[in-house]
Amino acid sequence: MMATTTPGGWRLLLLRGWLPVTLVALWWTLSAGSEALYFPPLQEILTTLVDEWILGPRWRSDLLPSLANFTIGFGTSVLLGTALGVLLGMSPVMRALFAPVLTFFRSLPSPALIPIVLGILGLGAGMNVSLIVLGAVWPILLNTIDGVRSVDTQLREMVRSYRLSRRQIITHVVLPSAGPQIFAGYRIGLQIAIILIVVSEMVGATHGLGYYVLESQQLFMITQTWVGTILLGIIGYLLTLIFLRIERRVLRWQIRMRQATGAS
Amino acid sequence: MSQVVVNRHPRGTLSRQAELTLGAVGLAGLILLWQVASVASLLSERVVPAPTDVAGALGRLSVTADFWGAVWATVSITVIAMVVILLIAVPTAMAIHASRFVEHSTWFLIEFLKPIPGVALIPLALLLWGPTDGVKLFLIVFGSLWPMLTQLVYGLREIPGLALEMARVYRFGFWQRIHRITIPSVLPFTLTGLRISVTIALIIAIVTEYIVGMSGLGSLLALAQLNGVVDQAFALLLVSGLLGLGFSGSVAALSGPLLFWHPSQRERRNG
Repeated sequence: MMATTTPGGWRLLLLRGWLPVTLVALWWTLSAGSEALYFPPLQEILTTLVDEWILGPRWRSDLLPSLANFTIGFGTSVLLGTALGVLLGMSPVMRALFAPVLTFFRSLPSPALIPIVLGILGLGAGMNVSLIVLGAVWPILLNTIDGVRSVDTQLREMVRSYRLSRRQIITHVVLPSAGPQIFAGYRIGLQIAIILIVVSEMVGATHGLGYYVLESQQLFMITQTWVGTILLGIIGYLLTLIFLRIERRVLRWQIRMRQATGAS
Repeated sequence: MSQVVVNRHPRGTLSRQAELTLGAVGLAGLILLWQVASVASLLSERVVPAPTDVAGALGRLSVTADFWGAVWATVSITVIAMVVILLIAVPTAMAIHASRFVEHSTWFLIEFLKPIPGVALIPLALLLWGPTDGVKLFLIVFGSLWPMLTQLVYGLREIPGLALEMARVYRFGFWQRIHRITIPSVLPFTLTGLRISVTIALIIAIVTEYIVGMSGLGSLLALAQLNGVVDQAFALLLVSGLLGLGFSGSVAALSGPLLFWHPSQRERRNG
Protein backbone atom coordinates (compact mmCIF):
# COMPACT_ATOMS: atom_id res chain seq x y z
CA MET A 1 0.00 0.00 0.00
CA MET A 2 1.31 3.41 -0.89
CA ALA A 3 1.81 5.96 1.82
CA THR A 4 -1.21 8.23 2.03
CA THR A 5 -0.69 11.83 2.96
CA THR A 6 -3.57 12.89 5.13
CA PRO A 7 -3.87 16.58 5.87
CA GLY A 8 -3.98 17.25 9.57
CA GLY A 9 -6.36 18.96 11.98
CA TRP A 10 -8.40 21.87 10.69
CA ARG A 11 -7.72 21.28 7.04
CA LEU A 12 -9.05 17.72 7.26
CA LEU A 13 -12.11 18.85 9.20
CA LEU A 14 -12.80 21.47 6.55
CA LEU A 15 -12.28 19.02 3.69
CA ARG A 16 -14.54 16.42 5.23
CA GLY A 17 -17.08 18.84 6.61
CA TRP A 18 -17.90 21.22 3.78
CA LEU A 19 -20.16 18.89 1.78
CA PRO A 20 -22.35 17.53 4.60
CA VAL A 21 -22.70 21.01 6.13
CA THR A 22 -23.61 22.52 2.75
CA LEU A 23 -26.21 19.82 2.11
CA VAL A 24 -27.88 20.24 5.49
CA ALA A 25 -27.80 24.04 5.12
CA LEU A 26 -29.36 23.74 1.65
CA TRP A 27 -32.07 21.43 3.02
CA TRP A 28 -32.71 23.83 5.88
CA THR A 29 -33.05 26.95 3.70
CA LEU A 30 -34.87 25.35 0.76
CA SER A 31 -37.42 23.67 3.02
CA ALA A 32 -37.90 26.71 5.27
CA GLY A 33 -41.52 27.78 5.12
CA SER A 34 -42.22 24.91 2.72
CA GLU A 35 -45.90 24.39 2.05
CA ALA A 36 -45.30 21.15 0.15
CA LEU A 37 -47.26 18.44 1.91
CA TYR A 38 -44.56 15.78 1.72
CA PHE A 39 -41.55 17.96 2.39
CA PRO A 40 -42.03 19.74 5.71
CA PRO A 41 -39.39 22.30 6.77
CA LEU A 42 -36.29 20.70 8.29
CA GLN A 43 -36.74 22.96 11.28
CA GLU A 44 -40.17 21.45 11.94
CA ILE A 45 -38.76 17.91 11.60
CA LEU A 46 -35.97 18.60 14.07
CA THR A 47 -38.29 20.34 16.54
CA THR A 48 -40.63 17.34 16.46
CA LEU A 49 -37.68 15.00 16.91
CA VAL A 50 -36.46 16.84 19.99
CA ASP A 51 -39.97 17.30 21.44
CA GLU A 52 -41.12 13.72 21.00
CA TRP A 53 -37.94 11.71 21.38
CA ILE A 54 -35.63 13.67 23.66
CA LEU A 55 -37.87 15.84 25.82
CA GLY A 56 -40.95 13.65 25.42
CA PRO A 57 -41.57 10.15 26.78
CA ARG A 58 -40.71 8.24 23.60
CA TRP A 59 -37.06 7.64 24.35
CA ARG A 60 -38.16 5.53 27.29
CA SER A 61 -41.24 3.88 25.80
CA ASP A 62 -39.90 3.19 22.29
CA LEU A 63 -36.17 3.84 21.97
CA LEU A 64 -34.81 1.98 25.00
CA PRO A 65 -36.83 -1.22 24.37
CA SER A 66 -35.66 -1.22 20.74
CA LEU A 67 -32.04 -0.84 21.81
CA ALA A 68 -32.45 -3.50 24.51
CA ASN A 69 -33.92 -6.00 22.03
CA PHE A 70 -31.16 -5.20 19.59
CA THR A 71 -28.44 -5.67 22.20
CA ILE A 72 -29.86 -8.97 23.46
CA GLY A 73 -30.37 -10.26 19.91
CA PHE A 74 -26.97 -9.25 18.58
CA GLY A 75 -25.22 -10.30 21.80
CA THR A 76 -26.80 -13.75 21.65
CA SER A 77 -25.80 -14.10 18.00
CA VAL A 78 -22.21 -13.19 18.83
CA LEU A 79 -21.92 -15.64 21.75
CA LEU A 80 -23.76 -18.47 20.03
CA GLY A 81 -22.07 -17.97 16.67
CA THR A 82 -18.56 -17.79 18.13
CA ALA A 83 -19.00 -20.76 20.49
CA LEU A 84 -20.54 -23.04 17.88
CA GLY A 85 -18.08 -21.76 15.30
CA VAL A 86 -15.07 -22.75 17.41
CA LEU A 87 -16.66 -26.14 18.08
CA LEU A 88 -17.38 -26.85 14.43
CA GLY A 89 -14.15 -25.27 13.25
CA MET A 90 -12.11 -27.68 15.33
CA SER A 91 -14.01 -30.78 14.31
CA PRO A 92 -13.96 -31.64 10.60
CA VAL A 93 -16.59 -34.37 11.01
CA MET A 94 -19.14 -32.14 12.75
CA ARG A 95 -18.43 -29.43 10.22
CA ALA A 96 -19.07 -31.70 7.25
CA LEU A 97 -22.20 -33.06 8.91
CA PHE A 98 -23.79 -29.63 9.31
CA ALA A 99 -22.37 -27.94 6.22
CA PRO A 100 -25.47 -28.17 3.98
CA VAL A 101 -27.81 -26.87 6.70
CA LEU A 102 -25.47 -24.00 7.57
CA THR A 103 -25.05 -23.02 3.94
CA PHE A 104 -28.81 -22.97 3.48
CA PHE A 105 -29.42 -20.72 6.47
CA ARG A 106 -26.59 -18.38 5.56
CA SER A 107 -28.10 -17.80 2.13
CA LEU A 108 -31.66 -17.58 3.41
CA PRO A 109 -33.00 -14.01 3.33
CA SER A 110 -34.02 -13.92 6.99
CA PRO A 111 -37.29 -11.94 6.59
CA ALA A 112 -38.69 -15.14 5.04
CA LEU A 113 -38.78 -16.42 8.63
CA ILE A 114 -41.23 -13.71 9.75
CA PRO A 115 -44.49 -15.68 9.25
CA ILE A 116 -43.12 -18.71 11.07
CA VAL A 117 -41.54 -16.82 13.97
CA LEU A 118 -44.69 -14.69 14.31
CA GLY A 119 -46.80 -17.84 14.25
CA ILE A 120 -44.80 -19.43 17.05
CA LEU A 121 -44.07 -16.43 19.28
CA GLY A 122 -46.68 -13.82 18.38
CA LEU A 123 -46.05 -10.07 18.60
CA GLY A 124 -43.49 -8.74 21.03
CA ALA A 125 -39.91 -8.70 22.26
CA GLY A 126 -39.43 -12.48 22.02
CA MET A 127 -40.24 -12.43 18.33
CA ASN A 128 -38.00 -9.42 17.69
CA VAL A 129 -35.01 -10.93 19.46
CA SER A 130 -35.49 -14.36 17.86
CA LEU A 131 -35.66 -12.90 14.37
CA ILE A 132 -32.40 -11.01 14.95
CA VAL A 133 -30.64 -14.13 16.23
CA LEU A 134 -31.99 -16.31 13.41
CA GLY A 135 -30.68 -13.80 10.88
CA ALA A 136 -27.40 -12.60 12.38
CA VAL A 137 -25.96 -15.81 13.82
CA TRP A 138 -25.08 -17.48 10.47
CA PRO A 139 -22.47 -15.07 9.08
CA ILE A 140 -20.82 -15.03 12.53
CA LEU A 141 -20.86 -18.81 12.78
CA LEU A 142 -19.49 -19.40 9.29
CA ASN A 143 -16.79 -16.75 9.57
CA THR A 144 -15.69 -18.20 12.89
CA ILE A 145 -15.49 -21.67 11.36
CA ASP A 146 -13.38 -20.34 8.48
CA GLY A 147 -11.16 -18.39 10.85
CA VAL A 148 -10.58 -21.34 13.16
CA ARG A 149 -9.92 -23.65 10.22
CA SER A 150 -7.24 -21.45 8.78
CA VAL A 151 -5.19 -21.23 11.95
CA ASP A 152 -1.67 -21.72 10.74
CA THR A 153 -0.56 -25.35 10.57
CA GLN A 154 2.83 -24.50 11.98
CA LEU A 155 1.16 -22.84 14.92
CA ARG A 156 -0.86 -26.01 15.52
CA GLU A 157 2.24 -28.13 15.51
CA MET A 158 3.94 -25.82 17.95
CA VAL A 159 0.93 -25.82 20.24
CA ARG A 160 0.89 -29.59 20.24
CA SER A 161 4.54 -29.76 21.24
CA TYR A 162 3.91 -27.36 24.13
CA ARG A 163 1.16 -29.65 25.45
CA LEU A 164 -1.34 -26.87 26.09
CA SER A 165 -4.76 -27.83 27.40
CA ARG A 166 -7.73 -27.57 25.06
CA ARG A 167 -8.98 -24.52 26.86
CA GLN A 168 -5.58 -22.82 26.63
CA ILE A 169 -5.42 -23.62 22.94
CA ILE A 170 -8.78 -21.97 22.31
CA THR A 171 -8.23 -18.80 24.34
CA HIS A 172 -4.55 -18.23 23.60
CA VAL A 173 -4.09 -19.56 20.08
CA VAL A 174 -7.28 -20.16 18.14
CA LEU A 175 -9.34 -17.11 19.09
CA PRO A 176 -6.58 -14.49 18.70
CA SER A 177 -5.42 -15.97 15.43
CA ALA A 178 -8.94 -16.19 14.00
CA GLY A 179 -9.88 -12.80 15.49
CA PRO A 180 -9.85 -10.64 12.37
CA GLN A 181 -12.00 -13.08 10.45
CA ILE A 182 -14.39 -13.54 13.37
CA PHE A 183 -14.80 -9.78 13.59
CA ALA A 184 -15.48 -9.62 9.85
CA GLY A 185 -18.37 -11.98 10.58
CA TYR A 186 -19.56 -9.76 13.44
CA ARG A 187 -19.58 -6.80 11.07
CA ILE A 188 -21.88 -8.55 8.59
CA GLY A 189 -23.98 -9.86 11.49
CA LEU A 190 -24.30 -6.32 12.86
CA GLN A 191 -25.52 -5.01 9.53
CA ILE A 192 -28.16 -7.73 9.35
CA ALA A 193 -29.13 -7.26 13.01
CA ILE A 194 -29.75 -3.53 12.45
CA ILE A 195 -31.94 -4.32 9.43
CA LEU A 196 -33.83 -6.98 11.35
CA ILE A 197 -34.57 -4.94 14.49
CA VAL A 198 -36.27 -2.39 12.22
CA VAL A 199 -38.12 -5.05 10.20
CA SER A 200 -39.19 -7.05 13.24
CA GLU A 201 -40.62 -3.94 14.88
CA MET A 202 -42.42 -2.94 11.71
CA VAL A 203 -44.20 -6.28 11.42
CA GLY A 204 -44.13 -7.79 14.90
CA ALA A 205 -44.41 -5.15 17.63
CA THR A 206 -46.76 -2.58 19.09
CA HIS A 207 -44.08 -0.09 20.02
CA GLY A 208 -40.46 0.69 19.17
CA LEU A 209 -38.82 2.86 16.59
CA GLY A 210 -39.60 0.63 13.60
CA TYR A 211 -43.25 0.44 14.62
CA TYR A 212 -43.34 4.23 15.00
CA VAL A 213 -42.07 4.91 11.46
CA LEU A 214 -44.46 2.51 9.73
CA GLU A 215 -47.38 3.61 11.91
CA SER A 216 -46.66 7.29 11.12
CA GLN A 217 -46.64 6.50 7.42
CA GLN A 218 -49.91 4.59 7.58
CA LEU A 219 -51.56 7.37 9.57
CA PHE A 220 -50.19 9.87 7.06
CA MET A 221 -48.21 11.74 9.70
CA ILE A 222 -45.58 13.05 7.36
CA THR A 223 -43.34 14.96 9.74
CA GLN A 224 -43.23 11.94 12.08
CA THR A 225 -42.27 9.65 9.20
CA TRP A 226 -39.34 11.94 8.44
CA VAL A 227 -38.41 12.06 12.13
CA GLY A 228 -38.44 8.27 12.46
CA THR A 229 -36.38 7.76 9.31
CA ILE A 230 -33.74 10.28 10.38
CA LEU A 231 -33.61 8.79 13.87
CA LEU A 232 -33.16 5.27 12.47
CA GLY A 233 -30.32 6.59 10.34
CA ILE A 234 -28.59 8.22 13.29
CA ILE A 235 -28.97 5.11 15.46
CA GLY A 236 -27.67 2.81 12.74
CA TYR A 237 -24.68 5.11 12.38
CA LEU A 238 -23.98 5.28 16.12
CA LEU A 239 -24.27 1.51 16.62
CA THR A 240 -21.78 0.92 13.81
CA LEU A 241 -19.45 3.54 15.26
CA ILE A 242 -19.49 1.89 18.70
CA PHE A 243 -18.86 -1.50 17.13
CA LEU A 244 -15.88 -0.25 15.12
CA ARG A 245 -14.40 1.29 18.28
CA ILE A 246 -14.65 -2.03 20.08
CA GLU A 247 -13.21 -3.89 17.10
CA ARG A 248 -10.21 -1.58 16.94
CA ARG A 249 -9.59 -2.08 20.66
CA VAL A 250 -9.87 -5.84 20.58
CA LEU A 251 -7.78 -6.29 17.46
CA ARG A 252 -5.22 -3.66 18.45
CA TRP A 253 -2.34 -6.11 18.63
CA GLN A 254 -3.15 -7.39 15.16
CA ILE A 255 -3.12 -3.91 13.65
CA ARG A 256 0.19 -3.13 15.38
CA MET A 257 1.71 -6.35 14.15
CA ARG A 258 0.69 -5.58 10.59
CA GLN A 259 2.25 -2.15 10.83
CA ALA A 260 5.42 -3.58 12.32
CA THR A 261 5.89 -6.30 9.74
CA GLY A 262 4.57 -4.26 6.85
CA ALA A 263 2.33 -7.13 5.80
CA SER A 264 -1.08 -6.27 4.46
CA MET B 1 -7.26 -8.99 3.21
CA SER B 2 -8.54 -12.42 3.70
CA GLN B 3 -5.58 -14.65 4.04
CA VAL B 4 -5.63 -18.05 2.54
CA VAL B 5 -3.79 -20.45 4.74
CA VAL B 6 -3.93 -23.96 3.48
CA ASN B 7 -3.85 -26.82 5.84
CA ARG B 8 -1.52 -29.32 4.24
CA HIS B 9 -1.48 -31.54 7.24
CA PRO B 10 -3.49 -34.70 6.58
CA ARG B 11 -4.81 -34.62 10.12
CA GLY B 12 -7.88 -32.50 10.61
CA THR B 13 -8.92 -32.58 6.98
CA LEU B 14 -11.34 -34.83 5.18
CA SER B 15 -11.39 -35.83 1.56
CA ARG B 16 -13.89 -34.03 -0.63
CA GLN B 17 -15.92 -37.19 -0.98
CA ALA B 18 -16.08 -37.81 2.77
CA GLU B 19 -17.27 -34.24 3.27
CA LEU B 20 -20.05 -34.64 0.72
CA THR B 21 -21.16 -37.98 2.16
CA LEU B 22 -21.24 -36.61 5.70
CA GLY B 23 -23.16 -33.56 4.52
CA ALA B 24 -25.78 -35.73 2.83
CA VAL B 25 -26.04 -37.89 5.95
CA GLY B 26 -26.46 -34.82 8.16
CA LEU B 27 -29.17 -33.34 5.96
CA ALA B 28 -31.07 -36.61 5.61
CA GLY B 29 -30.78 -37.27 9.35
CA LEU B 30 -32.18 -33.86 10.20
CA ILE B 31 -35.16 -34.25 7.86
CA LEU B 32 -35.80 -37.75 9.20
CA LEU B 33 -35.67 -36.48 12.79
CA TRP B 34 -38.10 -33.69 11.89
CA GLN B 35 -40.48 -36.16 10.23
CA VAL B 36 -40.37 -38.55 13.19
CA ALA B 37 -40.97 -35.69 15.63
CA SER B 38 -43.96 -34.57 13.58
CA VAL B 39 -45.46 -38.04 13.28
CA ALA B 40 -45.00 -38.59 17.01
CA SER B 41 -46.81 -35.26 17.56
CA LEU B 42 -43.84 -33.76 19.35
CA LEU B 43 -44.25 -30.76 17.08
CA SER B 44 -47.64 -29.13 16.86
CA GLU B 45 -48.96 -29.39 13.31
CA ARG B 46 -50.23 -25.83 13.40
CA VAL B 47 -46.80 -24.45 14.30
CA VAL B 48 -44.32 -26.75 12.56
CA PRO B 49 -45.77 -29.00 9.83
CA ALA B 50 -44.12 -32.27 8.85
CA PRO B 51 -41.58 -32.29 5.99
CA THR B 52 -43.99 -34.32 3.88
CA ASP B 53 -46.67 -31.64 4.33
CA VAL B 54 -44.17 -28.94 3.37
CA ALA B 55 -43.21 -30.92 0.28
CA GLY B 56 -46.89 -31.24 -0.60
CA ALA B 57 -47.44 -27.50 -0.19
CA LEU B 58 -44.41 -26.83 -2.36
CA GLY B 59 -45.82 -29.14 -5.02
CA ARG B 60 -49.17 -27.36 -4.98
CA LEU B 61 -47.46 -23.96 -5.17
CA SER B 62 -45.22 -24.94 -8.06
CA VAL B 63 -48.14 -25.56 -10.43
CA THR B 64 -49.58 -22.07 -9.96
CA ALA B 65 -48.70 -19.18 -12.24
CA ASP B 66 -48.83 -16.79 -9.27
CA PHE B 67 -45.93 -18.55 -7.62
CA TRP B 68 -43.66 -18.39 -10.67
CA GLY B 69 -44.69 -14.79 -11.27
CA ALA B 70 -43.70 -13.93 -7.71
CA VAL B 71 -40.36 -15.73 -7.99
CA TRP B 72 -39.65 -13.93 -11.24
CA ALA B 73 -40.59 -10.54 -9.74
CA THR B 74 -38.18 -11.00 -6.84
CA VAL B 75 -35.36 -12.43 -8.96
CA SER B 76 -35.60 -9.87 -11.75
CA ILE B 77 -35.66 -6.82 -9.48
CA THR B 78 -32.64 -8.16 -7.55
CA VAL B 79 -30.68 -8.71 -10.76
CA ILE B 80 -31.58 -5.25 -12.10
CA ALA B 81 -30.58 -3.71 -8.76
CA MET B 82 -27.17 -5.42 -8.99
CA VAL B 83 -26.59 -3.92 -12.45
CA VAL B 84 -27.62 -0.45 -11.24
CA ILE B 85 -25.34 -0.81 -8.21
CA LEU B 86 -22.37 -1.66 -10.44
CA LEU B 87 -23.17 1.28 -12.71
CA ILE B 88 -23.18 3.63 -9.71
CA ALA B 89 -20.38 2.08 -7.65
CA VAL B 90 -17.69 1.74 -10.35
CA PRO B 91 -17.51 5.42 -11.41
CA THR B 92 -17.98 6.59 -7.81
CA ALA B 93 -15.18 4.38 -6.53
CA MET B 94 -12.92 5.55 -9.35
CA ALA B 95 -13.65 9.20 -8.58
CA ILE B 96 -12.96 8.64 -4.88
CA HIS B 97 -9.73 6.86 -5.71
CA ALA B 98 -8.57 9.39 -8.28
CA SER B 99 -9.04 12.53 -6.21
CA ARG B 100 -8.05 13.13 -2.63
CA PHE B 101 -10.52 16.02 -2.61
CA VAL B 102 -13.46 13.80 -3.58
CA GLU B 103 -12.35 11.18 -1.07
CA HIS B 104 -12.31 13.56 1.88
CA SER B 105 -15.41 15.48 0.82
CA THR B 106 -17.57 12.39 0.50
CA TRP B 107 -16.06 10.62 3.50
CA PHE B 108 -18.60 11.65 6.09
CA LEU B 109 -21.54 11.35 3.72
CA ILE B 110 -20.67 7.76 2.83
CA GLU B 111 -19.77 6.79 6.40
CA PHE B 112 -23.13 8.16 7.51
CA LEU B 113 -25.26 6.66 4.75
CA LYS B 114 -23.57 3.24 4.85
CA PRO B 115 -25.00 1.92 8.15
CA ILE B 116 -28.52 3.27 7.58
CA PRO B 117 -30.68 0.17 7.23
CA GLY B 118 -32.26 0.29 3.76
CA VAL B 119 -35.55 -0.97 5.18
CA ALA B 120 -35.84 2.15 7.35
CA LEU B 121 -36.57 4.14 4.21
CA ILE B 122 -39.55 2.02 3.16
CA PRO B 123 -42.25 4.10 4.92
CA LEU B 124 -40.87 7.44 3.78
CA ALA B 125 -40.34 6.31 0.19
CA LEU B 126 -43.88 4.93 0.09
CA LEU B 127 -45.25 8.18 1.37
CA LEU B 128 -43.33 10.27 -1.17
CA TRP B 129 -43.64 8.14 -4.29
CA GLY B 130 -46.18 5.40 -3.67
CA PRO B 131 -45.80 1.66 -4.24
CA THR B 132 -44.12 1.43 -7.64
CA ASP B 133 -41.39 -0.81 -9.04
CA GLY B 134 -39.15 2.24 -9.24
CA VAL B 135 -39.43 2.80 -5.50
CA LYS B 136 -38.68 -0.86 -4.84
CA LEU B 137 -35.58 -0.60 -7.03
CA PHE B 138 -34.51 2.60 -5.28
CA LEU B 139 -34.88 0.99 -1.84
CA ILE B 140 -32.87 -2.08 -2.84
CA VAL B 141 -30.13 -0.03 -4.50
CA PHE B 142 -29.88 2.41 -1.60
CA GLY B 143 -29.70 -0.38 0.96
CA SER B 144 -27.18 -2.63 -0.76
CA LEU B 145 -24.94 -0.22 -2.65
CA TRP B 146 -22.48 0.36 0.19
CA PRO B 147 -20.75 -3.01 0.54
CA MET B 148 -19.96 -2.94 -3.16
CA LEU B 149 -18.71 0.66 -3.07
CA THR B 150 -16.55 0.04 0.00
CA GLN B 151 -14.99 -3.09 -1.49
CA LEU B 152 -14.25 -1.31 -4.79
CA VAL B 153 -12.57 1.65 -3.09
CA TYR B 154 -10.61 -0.75 -0.93
CA GLY B 155 -9.63 -2.85 -3.95
CA LEU B 156 -8.41 0.16 -5.92
CA ARG B 157 -6.30 1.20 -2.98
CA GLU B 158 -4.69 -2.24 -2.76
CA ILE B 159 -3.35 -2.31 -6.31
CA PRO B 160 0.32 -3.21 -5.83
CA GLY B 161 2.56 -0.21 -6.38
CA LEU B 162 5.17 -2.46 -7.98
CA ALA B 163 2.74 -3.49 -10.71
CA LEU B 164 1.98 0.16 -11.47
CA GLU B 165 5.72 0.95 -11.64
CA MET B 166 6.17 -1.94 -14.01
CA ALA B 167 3.33 -0.70 -16.20
CA ARG B 168 5.07 2.67 -16.38
CA VAL B 169 8.39 1.10 -17.34
CA TYR B 170 6.76 -0.98 -20.05
CA ARG B 171 4.88 2.13 -21.24
CA PHE B 172 1.43 0.57 -20.91
CA GLY B 173 -1.37 2.59 -22.48
CA PHE B 174 -4.46 3.53 -20.50
CA TRP B 175 -6.53 0.54 -21.62
CA GLN B 176 -3.63 -1.82 -21.21
CA ARG B 177 -3.19 -0.66 -17.64
CA ILE B 178 -6.91 -1.07 -16.90
CA HIS B 179 -7.02 -4.48 -18.53
CA ARG B 180 -3.76 -5.94 -17.22
CA ILE B 181 -3.51 -4.39 -13.77
CA THR B 182 -6.58 -2.58 -12.48
CA ILE B 183 -9.25 -5.16 -13.36
CA PRO B 184 -7.33 -8.22 -12.12
CA SER B 185 -6.44 -6.52 -8.83
CA VAL B 186 -9.94 -5.23 -8.17
CA LEU B 187 -11.92 -8.32 -9.27
CA PRO B 188 -11.61 -10.31 -6.03
CA PHE B 189 -12.89 -7.30 -4.07
CA THR B 190 -15.71 -6.78 -6.55
CA LEU B 191 -16.87 -10.36 -6.08
CA THR B 192 -16.77 -10.02 -2.28
CA GLY B 193 -18.81 -6.82 -2.58
CA LEU B 194 -21.24 -8.51 -4.93
CA ARG B 195 -21.74 -11.40 -2.53
CA ILE B 196 -22.62 -9.15 0.42
CA SER B 197 -24.66 -6.74 -1.70
CA VAL B 198 -26.81 -9.46 -3.24
CA THR B 199 -27.61 -10.92 0.21
CA ILE B 200 -28.83 -7.56 1.48
CA ALA B 201 -30.65 -6.79 -1.79
CA LEU B 202 -32.69 -9.97 -1.48
CA ILE B 203 -33.57 -9.14 2.15
CA ILE B 204 -34.78 -5.65 1.24
CA ALA B 205 -36.72 -6.93 -1.79
CA ILE B 206 -38.61 -9.48 0.32
CA VAL B 207 -39.28 -7.02 3.16
CA THR B 208 -40.59 -4.39 0.74
CA GLU B 209 -42.88 -6.92 -0.92
CA TYR B 210 -44.02 -8.19 2.47
CA ILE B 211 -44.87 -4.77 3.90
CA VAL B 212 -46.20 -3.10 0.76
CA GLY B 213 -47.86 -6.16 -0.76
CA MET B 214 -46.14 -5.78 -4.11
CA SER B 215 -45.87 -8.88 -6.26
CA GLY B 216 -43.02 -11.12 -5.15
CA LEU B 217 -42.03 -13.80 -2.66
CA GLY B 218 -42.53 -11.35 0.22
CA SER B 219 -46.21 -10.78 -0.57
CA LEU B 220 -46.77 -14.54 -0.91
CA LEU B 221 -45.26 -14.93 2.58
CA ALA B 222 -47.56 -12.23 3.93
CA LEU B 223 -50.53 -13.98 2.29
CA ALA B 224 -49.59 -17.37 3.74
CA GLN B 225 -49.32 -15.75 7.17
CA LEU B 226 -52.66 -13.98 6.78
CA ASN B 227 -54.43 -17.19 5.76
CA GLY B 228 -52.66 -19.19 8.45
CA VAL B 229 -51.36 -21.82 6.00
CA VAL B 230 -48.23 -22.83 7.85
CA ASP B 231 -47.10 -25.54 5.42
CA GLN B 232 -47.13 -22.95 2.65
CA ALA B 233 -45.10 -20.50 4.76
CA PHE B 234 -42.51 -23.27 5.26
CA ALA B 235 -42.51 -24.08 1.55
CA LEU B 236 -41.91 -20.39 0.75
CA LEU B 237 -39.11 -20.29 3.32
CA LEU B 238 -37.50 -23.20 1.49
CA VAL B 239 -37.88 -21.41 -1.85
CA SER B 240 -36.39 -18.18 -0.43
CA GLY B 241 -33.42 -20.12 0.88
CA LEU B 242 -32.89 -21.84 -2.45
CA LEU B 243 -33.10 -18.47 -4.18
CA GLY B 244 -30.47 -17.09 -1.81
CA LEU B 245 -28.33 -20.14 -2.49
CA GLY B 246 -28.81 -19.59 -6.22
CA PHE B 247 -27.59 -16.01 -5.99
CA SER B 248 -24.57 -16.72 -3.77
CA GLY B 249 -23.84 -19.80 -5.88
CA SER B 250 -23.84 -17.66 -9.03
CA VAL B 251 -21.31 -15.28 -7.49
CA ALA B 252 -19.15 -18.25 -6.44
CA ALA B 253 -19.48 -19.74 -9.93
CA LEU B 254 -18.28 -16.42 -11.39
CA SER B 255 -15.14 -16.45 -9.27
CA GLY B 256 -13.97 -19.77 -10.77
CA PRO B 257 -13.42 -18.57 -14.36
CA LEU B 258 -12.75 -14.92 -13.39
CA LEU B 259 -10.13 -15.61 -10.74
CA PHE B 260 -8.53 -18.78 -12.09
CA TRP B 261 -5.11 -17.21 -11.56
CA HIS B 262 -5.77 -16.20 -7.95
CA PRO B 263 -3.99 -18.24 -5.23
CA SER B 264 -7.28 -19.17 -3.54
CA GLN B 265 -8.63 -20.77 -6.72
CA ARG B 266 -5.36 -22.49 -7.57
CA GLU B 267 -5.28 -24.07 -4.15
CA ARG B 268 -8.84 -25.23 -4.56
CA ARG B 269 -8.04 -27.03 -7.80
CA ASN B 270 -4.89 -28.61 -6.46
CA GLY B 271 -6.21 -29.45 -3.04
